[in-house]
Amino acid sequence: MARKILLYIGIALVLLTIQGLIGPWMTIQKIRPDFLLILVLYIGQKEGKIFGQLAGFIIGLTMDLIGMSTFLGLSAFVMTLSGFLAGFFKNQRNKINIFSYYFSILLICLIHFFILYSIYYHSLGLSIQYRMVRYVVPSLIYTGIFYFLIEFVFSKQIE
Amino acid sequence: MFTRIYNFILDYIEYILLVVLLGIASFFILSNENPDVRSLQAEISSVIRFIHYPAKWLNTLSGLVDENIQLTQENIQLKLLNVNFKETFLENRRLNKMLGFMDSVSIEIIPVKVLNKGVTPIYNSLLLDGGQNIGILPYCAVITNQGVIGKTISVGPKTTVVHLLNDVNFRMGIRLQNSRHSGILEPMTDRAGLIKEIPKTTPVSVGEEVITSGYSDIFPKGFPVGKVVEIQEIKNSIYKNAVIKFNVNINTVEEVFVIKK
Repeated sequence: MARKILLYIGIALVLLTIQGLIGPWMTIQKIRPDFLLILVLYIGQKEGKIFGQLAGFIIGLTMDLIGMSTFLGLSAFVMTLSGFLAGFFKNQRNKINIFSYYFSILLICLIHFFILYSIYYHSLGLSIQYRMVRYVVPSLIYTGIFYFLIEFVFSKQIE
Repeated sequence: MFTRIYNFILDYIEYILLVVLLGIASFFILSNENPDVRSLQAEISSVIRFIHYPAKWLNTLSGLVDENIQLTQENIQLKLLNVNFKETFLENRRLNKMLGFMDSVSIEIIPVKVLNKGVTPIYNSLLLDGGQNIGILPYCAVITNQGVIGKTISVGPKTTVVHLLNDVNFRMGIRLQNSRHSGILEPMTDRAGLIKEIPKTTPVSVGEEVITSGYSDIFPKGFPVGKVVEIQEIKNSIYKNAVIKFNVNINTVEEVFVIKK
């Protein structure tokens, strides 16, 4: 277990560096894929609710603390929730309909981005429709593409 | 009784943990203005700032050739400008003396390099490669030679987090230089902001300079912020809005100055 935790910490650090390194180059209209969310979803699916939410909290808080966050605690909040929700799908990949499975994962991402942008942009008083079209759905699609790419490449390990 | 509680905790451990973790995260969200929490952020940023070095190195390499050409051109232009500025400065001092003005404000600035520009998708902030070690304090104005870009929010031993002008939660007191109307600047996009509720009777023109009002303790009076690029007339209202384009393109900033309090 200790080895596994160290491995996750290593992957998280690498992804954090990658996000800082190539994130700005991949940003389109302030939308950028969230690799660490993908990791939290993966940990949740693989290890369950407790481990998923703990990983989400630690990764989110790290992002808040070293990611120059102007809104401390927000990433920790949404990542914890995503890790917890992803934990419901532990060992479910081959048990439930594959489309329902991926739809649920995307739904978790949708909830994640919806809460993130709703809290962060609350001071602007943007309408839900605008928030969804301008920020939530594009972020979901952009991160979703990378989620499925990674899922495709590492499908054996995930199983 | 205790066994029952113990069993209850065991049965619902996942949900109890979720409530605890979300509670801690909410505490951080609600303590955003708390100096102790900000100081914790700065301390941690300082300890693991090495994470930002690969990005800094890559950016330095890719921009080095272009930067060199640009700097050479700027250097020639600045040399020519410098001559004019010296003349203007001397003339200004003479005139000020004649009018009996005294230098009311003397500011000290600290030059700092930008370490990184954020690893999270939405926050608009900068991490500076210097903190308490070079005398930076929280809530100081951060400027470039073109104008204001933000304020320091958390200062660690070796790094500083800057809240940028174009962040959705940033507000700043400004003044329109010609019409002398003062207001609050709200960011709209990466390079533009909005001044709301300007009385329709106030003569505002496109191209008018926008400067800091000096009403806050953070930003000294008279620093350039941007220029008016559009005036939005509002129907059935006694007010109008002005769209401002920031002087500084924050995406290209590599060195900044922190104004010492």
